[in-house]
Amino acid sequence: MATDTRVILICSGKGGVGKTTLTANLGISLARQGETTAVLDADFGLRNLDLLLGLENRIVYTAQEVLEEECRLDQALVKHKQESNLSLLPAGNPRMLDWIKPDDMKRIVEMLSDQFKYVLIDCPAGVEDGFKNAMHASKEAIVVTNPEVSAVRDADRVIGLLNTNGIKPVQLVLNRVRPKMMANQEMLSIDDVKDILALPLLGLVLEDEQVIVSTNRGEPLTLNSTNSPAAKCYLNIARRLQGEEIALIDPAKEIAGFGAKFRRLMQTKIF
Amino acid sequence: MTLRDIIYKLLRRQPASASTARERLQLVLAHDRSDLSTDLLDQMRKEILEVVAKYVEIDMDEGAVSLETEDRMTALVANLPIKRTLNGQIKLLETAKEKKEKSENLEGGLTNS
Amino acid sequence: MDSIKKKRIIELEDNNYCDWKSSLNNKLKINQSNYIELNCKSLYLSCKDISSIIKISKRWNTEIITFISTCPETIVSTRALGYRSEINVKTLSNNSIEKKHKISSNSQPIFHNGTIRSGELIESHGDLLILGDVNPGALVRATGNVMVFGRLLGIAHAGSQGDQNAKISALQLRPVQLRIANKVARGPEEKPQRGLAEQAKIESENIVISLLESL
Repeated sequence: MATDTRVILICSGKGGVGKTTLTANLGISLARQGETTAVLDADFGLRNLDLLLGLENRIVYTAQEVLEEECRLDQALVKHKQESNLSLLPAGNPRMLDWIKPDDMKRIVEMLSDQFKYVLIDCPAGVEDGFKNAMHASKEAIVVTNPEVSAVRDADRVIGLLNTNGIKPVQLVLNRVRPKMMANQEMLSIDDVKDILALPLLGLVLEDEQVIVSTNRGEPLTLNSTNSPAAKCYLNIARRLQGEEIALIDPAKEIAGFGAKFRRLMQTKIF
Repeated sequence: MTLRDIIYKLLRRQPASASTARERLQLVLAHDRSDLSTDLLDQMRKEILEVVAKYVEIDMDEGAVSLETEDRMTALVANLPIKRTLNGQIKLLETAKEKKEKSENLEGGLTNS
Repeated sequence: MDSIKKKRIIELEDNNYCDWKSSLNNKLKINQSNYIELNCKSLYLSCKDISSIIKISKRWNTEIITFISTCPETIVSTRALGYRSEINVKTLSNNSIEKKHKISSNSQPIFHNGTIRSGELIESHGDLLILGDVNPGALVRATGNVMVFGRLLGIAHAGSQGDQNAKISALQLRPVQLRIANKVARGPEEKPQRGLAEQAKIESENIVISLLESL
């Protein structure tokens, strides 16, 4: 087993905050940077990673058949069309939830670790068995959240569980950031979330309509249009993950000019 | 209150929601993380005061025990104003403390030499 | 009312060389009783057959109170029409077991009525007939043919135990993936014409989709 393999759990607690999108884009970005990367869909109940990567029609075997020893791992792995460094291990049938155990997950990840530098695990929403199985197999974690009260609360719960289970390091990605709303104080600011969750911020992703367009096509944003705001964010996150130091700028504070000065004046405390 | 809040109040507009969100979150998270109900906290406060009252005379009404959350660490903070020491017992405590300090000094000396 | 309330048992001929309808007609003609217990032996009778028996019996002013049969399908047909029936296990001959086996492997499909949604799986030992859509993310699998009276948008696997002659047919064939025996093909990129049923089968080692002539 390659000892330097990084097994990263991508989780959030709440659903719909962008775990799968982050997994897909990080996978593509890391592969483009020349790293052999495997993305593992641990969401057996509601799998979607194959759809986001545009690989749904290439799946023949899944993690289920690998565990049942009906096929070899390399038969189940689906190589990405354009990025040959990236492979997907699809989730099995939802009925797999009934019998899969934490050690099964660990076995699969160990198999993947032999071949890949990065193993990204797309975790299911919630804090039940699906999450626990995935956590058991991981070494480090990225917690995805949105600047919304419900998402932050759920993230906090997940972080607590990750801490008690000795997953280290745990880093934060703040998704769907709207700088204008933050500047107008109508959204939890980046500092707010960082302070409340007390985690190092790995990166933030700007709200971007192109994300929806890319999921429609089954081509992650980072694959083609590297000019879109969200794609740049994903690329930065991948580079930081690799150890590069890229400054994190709060886009809400970047909003300059008269408007910003006025806003700052408005925010001064008088009593 | 910020200038903005006043203007909003004058214009009868809703105040900015980010601060509301932050306050609500902090409250709910302190509760989530500690898993302590207010009843339990109250009971604990009473018992702590009783124990402390055995040694010193404290202001029962002023005393406050609260939970504070910072950087994923939850701390129990007790703020107990002491009115007057109860002589005999305090001395006993002090001698015990002195003994402890002495032994610590000895250990320190040993490691230095 | 009729004085003769005696029950009589009439047996049908269950060999293939005899027309049971005309023999039943003849037997009822010479019959004295108004109440009949009809032993259908191992005949495989559909609902249509049962109702024609009822018609014949009415013509001779008799009522069939019970059907007796060794064939489960016949029992199902009679019960479906609301008649009393009994299964006769004792007289189950080797011959009929053979027949039954032939039926289940050839012409008795598993039948599903309704949409199959993502994450759901339907398997059949034999043919599989679905009256409804197969949504993306769903899997339908049969050792024989797969027939979908609806849109096939998910994954279909025909001949799952290696039958190269198995076919997949659907009113609208737009699957994510098709599998026949050990062959795998991705779904067609372009949209099919509306209103034309299509089928997929193996032709010279490849899965080929063509317009469907008949199911």
